[in-house]
Amino acid sequence: MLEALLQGLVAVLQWNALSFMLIGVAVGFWVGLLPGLGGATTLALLLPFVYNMAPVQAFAFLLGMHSVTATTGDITSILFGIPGEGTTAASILDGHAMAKKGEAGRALGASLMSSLIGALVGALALALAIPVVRPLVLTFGSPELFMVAILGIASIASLSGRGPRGMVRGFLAGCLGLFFSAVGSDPQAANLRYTFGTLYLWEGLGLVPVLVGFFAIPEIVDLAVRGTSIAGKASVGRISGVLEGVKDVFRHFWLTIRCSLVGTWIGVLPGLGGAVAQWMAYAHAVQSAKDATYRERFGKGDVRGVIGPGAANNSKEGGDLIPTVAFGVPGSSSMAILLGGFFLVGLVPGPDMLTKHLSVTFSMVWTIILANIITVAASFAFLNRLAGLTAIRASLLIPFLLLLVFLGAYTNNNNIGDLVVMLSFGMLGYFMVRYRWPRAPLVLGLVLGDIAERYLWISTARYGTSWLGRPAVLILIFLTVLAAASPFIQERRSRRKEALRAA
Amino acid sequence: MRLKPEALFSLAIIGAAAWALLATLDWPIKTALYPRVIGVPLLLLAVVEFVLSVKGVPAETGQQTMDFALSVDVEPRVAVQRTITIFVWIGGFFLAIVLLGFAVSIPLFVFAYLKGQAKERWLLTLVLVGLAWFIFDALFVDLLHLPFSQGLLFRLLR
Repeated sequence: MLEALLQGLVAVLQWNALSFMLIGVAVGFWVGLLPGLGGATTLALLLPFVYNMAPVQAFAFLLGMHSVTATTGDITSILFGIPGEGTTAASILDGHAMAKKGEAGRALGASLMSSLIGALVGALALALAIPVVRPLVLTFGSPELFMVAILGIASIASLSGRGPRGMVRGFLAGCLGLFFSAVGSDPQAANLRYTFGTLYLWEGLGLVPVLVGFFAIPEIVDLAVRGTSIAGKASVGRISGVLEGVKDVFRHFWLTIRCSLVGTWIGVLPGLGGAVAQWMAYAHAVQSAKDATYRERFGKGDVRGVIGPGAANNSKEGGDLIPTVAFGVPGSSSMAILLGGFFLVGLVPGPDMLTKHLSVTFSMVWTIILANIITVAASFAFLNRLAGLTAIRASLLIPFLLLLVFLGAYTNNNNIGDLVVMLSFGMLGYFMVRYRWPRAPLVLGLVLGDIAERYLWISTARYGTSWLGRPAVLILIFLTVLAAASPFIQERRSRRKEALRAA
Repeated sequence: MRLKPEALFSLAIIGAAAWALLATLDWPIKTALYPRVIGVPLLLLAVVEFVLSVKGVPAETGQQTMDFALSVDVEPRVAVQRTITIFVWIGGFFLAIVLLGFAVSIPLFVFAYLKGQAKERWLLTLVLVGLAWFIFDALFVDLLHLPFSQGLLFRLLR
């Protein structure tokens, strides 16, 4: 095994594989920065180029591109409040709030360092987990996957607002998100739901226009109202801020590791993907806050809200690859496209990848590691310039932000319908922010709705109601109840502590 | 009794949830099950939120949200005026794209915003219009080969 590990490293460091990886990284760097243009789409666009490549070169090229999009996507999310990638929307909540306080450098430093650690954890998990992950994945059937979706929504909904009314709004937003996922043809009988007679909505609401509008429009409106730069009167671009962000990651090292593991595990589970991983990690970061006072800082520029999603959306890459490589079961749309890459270079995912082609598998591990180190180093080199963008005055920035928002949304289906969806969700997002409704549960509901419906139906059709008694399902139900009740438990505990202190 | 805008927002959600539930009545169970399972709690929670909005709750329990808050350091009258203005610009950009297509709307919008709204200098405006055009043409058209349809007006004129 050690020999294969070294062979994988040597193969990636060959000049031709390394060159392809660098090209892939350069493409991924810009794809991540540009809103709307996703890693999966670019992966599909790059696929035809690998026909004549050797397997190691092909994966260095494809994975080199794909594994860094989340890293640079975080930069756009933090600086402009527009999700660079669908998988980096959660970084907006605290990252952009930090940028507005003049702490863009610190937020970027924390995001990049946590992304690097996340990517390393994900790659390590890929290297270590292949022999042991098979039984674990097989224990998760459709009932467990349905419960994972419910657990995710319950966690974030219960944590997004304070007090009973905050919880009402959190769960209401979660239900609204789940409801929006019902738009389009239903996964069982393919009957149309809420499509208003338009062909565009047959496939449901596109995540990219929804996310771009939902997060970017309220930020742009607020920027126009303030009439200042993103950072306002606060000074930006201080190198100490970047180092502070890097230090923050090590101050909250265990949070970084835990969120990386959350991302890896979500990546391993089929159908969940990076869009879910970031929110799960965000919810975990909020949940691990000591008490309600600490929790209140989230959404207003708490660095832990940057570290959690930053680590998870990169670590899921390694996790995503585990079922793809080991069983030929892609965990996400990107991995399904990558699976095509396997066949194009003459490889068949499955047991052969763990025996005959083990060095190729390990070359993927090394590609993820090297590509992320290179990207993070390059990003650090330009960080001050990037942070300086938040000092540009609003009047110059707004037309360009709107340009990126409109183009980003349009790339989803190249249809005017994308713009209508983006604007509708932009309005909804604005009113939600205005009336203090949390947006995160809605997004998670929308992302998980399709999965939840699909697995609920399969579970019920296959097991009736008996699936509710499966041990793993019972554990997940218990965790869901615990997640929903945790704010009350924590509040009660802190009140008791205060009473003891007062006594 | 005059309803607060906050209550009107939850009332709109109630209306949408009720309509969505009613729409499921004509559907087969396979199609209707999920929207009903989600729609019922959605409607109930929206009603609870509406009642709470009408009654009003103390800020310390109701207003804390894990999300960013709109700026409050601008005079409310000016804030409303600027909000309406930016929404008009966004709507105008959308309308221009529908009528004229991306290729014409992008330079037109950037120019109109920088000159009409921001009152920027001519040189800076022209440089930024050129930059916007470059981003669109070099990146999205030439490099990525994304298909951008012509505007409605051009299609009608053909």
